[in-house]
Amino acid sequence: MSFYEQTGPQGEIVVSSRVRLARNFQDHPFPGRMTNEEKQAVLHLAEKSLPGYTCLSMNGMRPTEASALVERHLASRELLSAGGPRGVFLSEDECVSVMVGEEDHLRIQVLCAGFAPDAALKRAQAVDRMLEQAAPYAFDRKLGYLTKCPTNLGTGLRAGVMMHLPMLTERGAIRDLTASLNKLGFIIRGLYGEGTAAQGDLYQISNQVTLGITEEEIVSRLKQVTGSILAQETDLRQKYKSVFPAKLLDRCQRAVGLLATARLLPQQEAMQLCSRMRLGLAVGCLAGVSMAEMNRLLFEMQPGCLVTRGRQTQTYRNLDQMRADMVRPIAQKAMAALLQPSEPSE
Amino acid sequence: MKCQHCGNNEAEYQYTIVIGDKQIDRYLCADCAKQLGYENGNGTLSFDQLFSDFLSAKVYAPTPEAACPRCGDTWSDIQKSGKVGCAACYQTFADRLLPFVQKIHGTGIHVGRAPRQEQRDPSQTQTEALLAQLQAQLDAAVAEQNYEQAAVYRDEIRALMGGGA
Repeated sequence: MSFYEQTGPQGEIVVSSRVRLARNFQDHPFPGRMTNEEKQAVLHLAEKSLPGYTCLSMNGMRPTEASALVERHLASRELLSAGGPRGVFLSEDECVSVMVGEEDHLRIQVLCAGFAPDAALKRAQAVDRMLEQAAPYAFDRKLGYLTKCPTNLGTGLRAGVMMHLPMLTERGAIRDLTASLNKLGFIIRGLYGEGTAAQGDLYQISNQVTLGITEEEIVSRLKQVTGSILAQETDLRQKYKSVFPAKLLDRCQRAVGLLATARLLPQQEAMQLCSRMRLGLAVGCLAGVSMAEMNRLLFEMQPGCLVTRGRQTQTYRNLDQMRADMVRPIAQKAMAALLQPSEPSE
Repeated sequence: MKCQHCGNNEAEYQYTIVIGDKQIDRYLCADCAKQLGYENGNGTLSFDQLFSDFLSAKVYAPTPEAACPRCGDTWSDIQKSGKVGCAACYQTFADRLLPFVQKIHGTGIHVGRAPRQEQRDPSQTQTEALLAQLQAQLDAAVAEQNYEQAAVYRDEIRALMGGGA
């Protein structure tokens, strides 16, 4: 079960927590300067130390399947576009993904549902200890773990959270947030990382500084920053609910109406409407659908996931139609809850 | 020293040419100096000739750029991509990379975890080495009256000593 099919702590606002460690083996140059034989050798090293993991080779993988991995945050676009032998190792629960042959030899990533960066770090460090037994890492006492990009030196750790921030977005507060986060050494980006727009009011917040600070301190600062954003978004939601109750109800329920009846749903519109539905479920304007179901929709309505799913069920159709068909039954559950005599909202 | 032009005779003349912010030192034998027009008979330099040589890069042929012995990346490669080719690049280009690293992270000293391979040595040594390095940087910062940076080092030292206690 993927991270997005579960609900974790503070799940109404924090969709997931993510930790990534960048690692390289001492005896090989970095992937950009490696021969295919060397890349293959590094893949073998990873395979040896990750028993029980499923290895997905990027070579020969259908582009839509590869895209689906990116959409589900299990691989990166950089891994797709890198050349030569490379792949991703997935743990049984798909919460750990180890990319081999991306920018660095290894990118160990752990995703947890909700606000749980401590648990994610702990698990990533355990996987790290398994991998370091395969061969010595490139490590320098002064610079820490050596990485291809100097911005990852030291701990090689990127710790982040994915947050659903519809109210802060509406307030136009994201720009200010970006500036103040930068000052604290954090960066805020859209759903799919650098340079992507914030679809569905989903944002990723992560640390920028990796050197001169311990792993625990990075995670502790992330928790502070996230906690403060969490408080702001919660506060805005509560205020909005008490000051403009009709407006909030209208927005969330109208979105459900559309999602429950639409036959064609373009991606952007679907993300926007699902964001409103998610907000409604979080503040109690809607019921009948779990946060986990809602999260699954947000990820699996992406094009690559839809095509992969369509291939599995042998239903090749227009993507917008496939998306609408996937969302409709879930939105109808929320609709049914609304039409019941005991409405969840006043 | 041999003549830089013919490579056979002993160099007898040193010419220092400054054009803009570029300084070029040439060591030539008497024959080559005459041949290249550096001496126009009465011992003075022919500036016209020098300037045209400079522009045509006949005199100032830049030496081939140093490359990382491990992966072959040059400093230009690193500048272009913002990324290094291998772990050894951090040593090869330490003088140019480290200030850059310091600029990005605000420090150049790792304080996080280390792989087990490093921990075989007594961990005390690593902390001691780091402390000595930080102390030296602190002293240098104080000498330069860069108190802001000095405070950063001081805090790092305190953190290290606190962490080791």
